[in-house]
Amino acid sequence: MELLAPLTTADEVVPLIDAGANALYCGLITKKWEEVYSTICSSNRRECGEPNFRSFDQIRTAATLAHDKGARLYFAANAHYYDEEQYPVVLDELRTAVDAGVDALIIADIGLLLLVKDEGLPVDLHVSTGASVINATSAAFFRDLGASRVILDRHLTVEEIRRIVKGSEGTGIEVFILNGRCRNVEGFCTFQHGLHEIMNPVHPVVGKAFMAVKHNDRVVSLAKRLPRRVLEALIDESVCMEWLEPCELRHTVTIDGDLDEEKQANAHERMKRFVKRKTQVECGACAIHDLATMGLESIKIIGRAFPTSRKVGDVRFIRHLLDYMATEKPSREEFIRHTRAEHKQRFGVDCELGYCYYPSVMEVDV
Amino acid sequence: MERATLIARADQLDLVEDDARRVYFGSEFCQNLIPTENEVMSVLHAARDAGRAFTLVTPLVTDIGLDRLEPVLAALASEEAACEVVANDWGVLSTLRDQGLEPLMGRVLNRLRKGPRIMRVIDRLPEETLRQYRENNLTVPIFRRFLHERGVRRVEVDNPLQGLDLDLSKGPDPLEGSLYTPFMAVTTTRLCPTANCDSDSPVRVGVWPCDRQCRTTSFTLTHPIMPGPLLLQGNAVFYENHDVPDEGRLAEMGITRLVVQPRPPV
Repeated sequence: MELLAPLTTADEVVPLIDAGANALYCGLITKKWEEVYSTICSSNRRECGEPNFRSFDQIRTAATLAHDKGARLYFAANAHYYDEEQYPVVLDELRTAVDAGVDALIIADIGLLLLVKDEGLPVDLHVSTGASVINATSAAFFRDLGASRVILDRHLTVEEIRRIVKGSEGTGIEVFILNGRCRNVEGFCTFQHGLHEIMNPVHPVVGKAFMAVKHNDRVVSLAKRLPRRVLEALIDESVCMEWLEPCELRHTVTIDGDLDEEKQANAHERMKRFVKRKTQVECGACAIHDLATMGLESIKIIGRAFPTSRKVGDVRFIRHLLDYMATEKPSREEFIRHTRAEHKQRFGVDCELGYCYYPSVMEVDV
Repeated sequence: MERATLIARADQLDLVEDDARRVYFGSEFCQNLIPTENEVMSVLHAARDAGRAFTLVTPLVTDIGLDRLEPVLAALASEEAACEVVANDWGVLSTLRDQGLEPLMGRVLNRLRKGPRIMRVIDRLPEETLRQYRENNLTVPIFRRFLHERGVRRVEVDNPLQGLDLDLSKGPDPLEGSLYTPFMAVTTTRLCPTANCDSDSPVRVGVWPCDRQCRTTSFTLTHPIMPGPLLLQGNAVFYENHDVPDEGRLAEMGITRLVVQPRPPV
């Protein structure tokens, strides 16, 4: 089973592969694209400049380095849709990416998938999670359109994934294992991200500082020692609400329904937990034991916006678990117990049900 | 302009507008709300008895959801008059034509940018970006051909705050559009915050069985960054937009049906 990791610069290729990644994925926003559309109209679902490559020369370097180490490089062009004028631009970029050596294209827009297939580019086609595949019939549908792999939506149980794998012979299945568990079905979420790039006039300086704080291991680790209420006040609202993505906003919630006072309090708490927090760790590692034995092709770590140290640490964490499984052959319960201990060591916090990719596995009493 | 009324529950037939020539019925967002075969047939017959046509709406489904839909679709397929079925799942859509049903591409599959927060920056967006936000891939010939090959002649369209600039009827594979009003579907989740919201445990946010708490409890979300409240109904978030383009403009865009939602359709 492949371990797929996020990549933002060519400098990260070797450390990530040495940490245990078999394949890497990246996106690119060219200067020209940014000038015409701005980054918030991203070609790859990362609506800000930071997590993107900026030139095809860098992609070529990354592909060469990856191939030299026996790994593969995938290129995301997975906007939910492109309009008619964007199609030739994107197709031209994909031709260039393939020429630079990428091994697969990650695509969500069916029209683009068909166009690339017609073009006969010598590259694998992976259907993005943006296509919202959650059943075997959909997976087979995309296989018949030419996809060699389908990346499932994040909101599936282990049993639902198992049924899709069983029922979609002929196409590889990829699922998420760490970070970035969107609150919403990604393909059906139409909120704009990255609006701060337009809202904030001092973007380059403030933006870099904000992203550094937001994703810095040490800052996050120190911040976790603060009382949660203080932490949320500091991070979530006082920095600048314009910087927050829609799923990070803490709305005022009014309940319309017949809930007594205690149940209303529970419902409010539930809504608070539904808001994405920067200090949480979204993880599905406990499920690796189940996932590895059902015939999955790949598990993916999210986090193109994270610094290299975080990416490398995340890859080491998951690689260790895969190796542990292969060499020690633990029972399912032993594996889950071991994973929880490793999680605490890696992230400094216990697993939390509300942030678990596969909560039915987390509820296993070990 | 044909008018239709969308209802999500069999007991909402009294909400159907007098001038509606068609009734849409079903769930677009949650497979736990897929109506039974009996409910579907009862609404279909009530609609037809009142001289109205019928359209079933269906959600994104897992394989279990597909199993649930199977008898409903089979019952519709056995009807003498062909029925429309709105698909919001590519797996569902790919099976409809072979069953003799008329597939419509649902508004959830029909990708648009719909976050209301866009209105904070709309004056600062580059012209090309604004164009992309008002259009989508429905004007792309290869995608339209693909839809035609699967029997899709009508697509369901939400009404975003930034406006629409579609041209569905142009070209060799023309489409017709249905515009939804006033509730625009902004996002949906399977980690339903409404499911079991009356339970004693606030932490069980995930994909769990539920008792359809969305039928009795809903949430209004307000934030100063949004131009108005978001309505969380079940597992879907809506924004209310009453600003519908005039009929002339709708006709120019190829929109020939208005789907009115008297309530958020959950």
